[in-house]
Amino acid sequence: MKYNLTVKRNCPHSSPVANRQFLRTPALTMPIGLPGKCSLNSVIRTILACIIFIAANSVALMSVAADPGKSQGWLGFRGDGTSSGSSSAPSDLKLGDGGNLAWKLEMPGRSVAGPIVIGDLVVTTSSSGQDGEVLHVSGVNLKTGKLEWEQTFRATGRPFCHPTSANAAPSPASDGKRIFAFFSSNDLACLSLDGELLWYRGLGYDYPKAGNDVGMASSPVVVDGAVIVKVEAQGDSFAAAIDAETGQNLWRIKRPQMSNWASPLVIRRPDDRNEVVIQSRKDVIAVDPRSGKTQWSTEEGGSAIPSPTATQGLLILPSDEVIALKVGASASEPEVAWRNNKLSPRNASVVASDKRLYSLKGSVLVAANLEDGEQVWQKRLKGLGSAWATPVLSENRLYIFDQTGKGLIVEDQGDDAETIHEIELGEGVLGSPAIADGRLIVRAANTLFCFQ
Amino acid sequence: MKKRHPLCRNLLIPLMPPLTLLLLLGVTTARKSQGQDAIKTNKAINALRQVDKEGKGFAEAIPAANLLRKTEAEKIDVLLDAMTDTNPVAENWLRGVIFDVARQAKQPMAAKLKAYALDQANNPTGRGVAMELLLKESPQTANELITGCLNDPSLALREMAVEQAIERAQQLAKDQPDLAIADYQKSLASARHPRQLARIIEALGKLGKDISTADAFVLVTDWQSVAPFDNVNGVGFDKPYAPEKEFQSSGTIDLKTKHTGKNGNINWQTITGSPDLGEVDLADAYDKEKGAVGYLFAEFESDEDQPAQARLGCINANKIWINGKLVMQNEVYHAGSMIDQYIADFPLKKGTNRILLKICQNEQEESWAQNWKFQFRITDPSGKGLASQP
Repeated sequence: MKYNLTVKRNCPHSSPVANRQFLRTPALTMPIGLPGKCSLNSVIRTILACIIFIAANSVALMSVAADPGKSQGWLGFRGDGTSSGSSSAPSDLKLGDGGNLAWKLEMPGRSVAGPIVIGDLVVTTSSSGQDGEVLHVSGVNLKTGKLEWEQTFRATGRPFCHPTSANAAPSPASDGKRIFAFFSSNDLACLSLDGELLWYRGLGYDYPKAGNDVGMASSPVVVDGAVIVKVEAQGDSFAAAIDAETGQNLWRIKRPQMSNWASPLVIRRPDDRNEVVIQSRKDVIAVDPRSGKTQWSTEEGGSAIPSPTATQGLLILPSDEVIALKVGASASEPEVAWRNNKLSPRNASVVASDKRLYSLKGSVLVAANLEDGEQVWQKRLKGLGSAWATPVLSENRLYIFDQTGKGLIVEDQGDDAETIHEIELGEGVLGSPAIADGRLIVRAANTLFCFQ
Repeated sequence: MKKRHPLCRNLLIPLMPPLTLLLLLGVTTARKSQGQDAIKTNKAINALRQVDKEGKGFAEAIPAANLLRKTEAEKIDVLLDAMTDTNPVAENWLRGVIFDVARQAKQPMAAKLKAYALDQANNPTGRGVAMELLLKESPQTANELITGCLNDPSLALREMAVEQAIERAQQLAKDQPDLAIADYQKSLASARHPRQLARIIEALGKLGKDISTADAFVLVTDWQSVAPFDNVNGVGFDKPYAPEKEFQSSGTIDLKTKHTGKNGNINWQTITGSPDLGEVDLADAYDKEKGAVGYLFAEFESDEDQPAQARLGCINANKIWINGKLVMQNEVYHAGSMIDQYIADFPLKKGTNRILLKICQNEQEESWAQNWKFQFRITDPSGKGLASQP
């Protein structure tokens, strides 16, 4: 089957908007209210508060500017899009005395979304209530497991989903300065790293016919100051970019009216442009993040559940087969590098290292060469049940969890693979874990685990 | 009385006039400043309340939220009051700011929150948020208060009270089933949320007290139907077949009229919902026809004019007209279903109200895509099921 690429080389006007500093203000009790009792003390307090306010703002500005670590971490679904961690995750996972569980924390609701990590802050979403209409965003200290803050909202769109899923299904995303928490009900909350509400979009309220009652799950991405969401279902399907600073629509485009849970992916082209790849069963398009203009598209669709992956100049598209497109060699139209019909994943997205790809086909894990797509080994993972969470990779170790909470560490030993460790968390894991600062952070249905 | 040191007295006397002047100036300035602050606060609250679809009002709301999150916790009732009659997006902006204020509070807020939540003159949403915050700060106090909210006009508080009653009954079920049954029955009368109602019905059934879903939800189960009309390739959803045209023009249906359907002549016939779940099964009545449209007609008597809601649970594409007017339409097939899945407000009029449903089946072949059925009811705006008055 020929892979057709229709290239529309729209002139890229993607002048990336510099992410302006979010001005964080400290908690101060400024006197606000009706005229009433008054004293000299209140005048002095007012003046002092103003002085402290101005001083504290200056400190806050300086501290943000001087904290480059804030931009590091695991900033979205599958980290940088490869599911591969830059820091070394623990080589075993043990609960109980003598184990390496750093902490665990009960969450205010259920989640099938992955956690993200921004500096020392772990952010995870949950949903509770009779229909999952209560939306929670929790900020947890990575080192201590202490709950730093929590925000709670009410779904403006349809909160319904299949019992195995949750309204908290899309993973949150961050640009290192702000948090974008997205939900199946198409609610999108933008918070500061201190948990303060910056803006709130009810995309389910704006576009009530978009979504479905099985549950949506596509995770947003943030690039060039735009939050890209993909809302594809039988109703009014669309993809849109929301300005990260203002919460306003930058663009909104129609998408095929069919169920789709795959997430968008940011790819960097050789001419330093970013493109967002959006995949459905009918097509694959790459759009400019700021304008929404299609840069190139395919006439062949991809999977509706696994998301695309990018690494080493290749874009890996899952469908009935896995197709690798060369997007890093030149800024012109991408060409097919290779395709392999034995690699097609079932639910989880393809995981990539700089040399290999890993595809989970039910309980069978397949490894292939990145260069030519040729299979290197395949391994039946004994004891692994139905897995929805995309595995994550640290060095040569893959961390794989199923929906009962069983976890495996599978080591790629070159020509073969071996399960080197097993764990039972006791709660289902459907969200992809995060790797940061030598730790593995796992969001189970109602509990957040951190191993070190 | 403590005597002032002569030196101090001597020093203060010449300073008195300027000090008094400074003090008066300070007081005036502070009063003016507080007045300006109040104006700013009101303006900021209005900015948040004006937020609407597609980012409308965000440019004003973003700085307003930054200002309001610095509100003294003591004045949180001003923000709770602002939740009166807001749209869902504006409500979340206010909610976020209220949680910011509560998180930064230096002093306990329990007394303030308790007073706000219990005062039924306050807006129902704000009262619910006050109770949420109280649950975080002082769970025991909050839970004691919630116990008394089983019939509260705030749906949020009522839902919390029903949840508490269900949990209490669950604990009693094993050793004191009679007390559990009493608790469940009490909560059944108060419950408005369909998921809570369903759980209570199921629990009572396990304790030997069978109540049908149809009865508990007051589902409409007696209908007249005519089908199938053509919906191959989804053409029927937007195509107004004869019953639809008739209802839209006259507001009623002549059940004696014969129609030309997808496979020939068709007549109106009686169709009844299942006695337990109140499900009206078109697939069963029309031989599992695929690519088909069915119309259903019912009359509903009301003894007064009142605001009401049409509530539909349906896994097929659907439209509903009441008294000739379209109240909802959903072109979604086989993507989940539950009671009260779709809700629309409409005015129930005194006397006979006429309801027409259009339920569309597509041609998907998967085993999970064969259902062609629905559950329908009419409720008051709180979700309490209304029965047709004989």
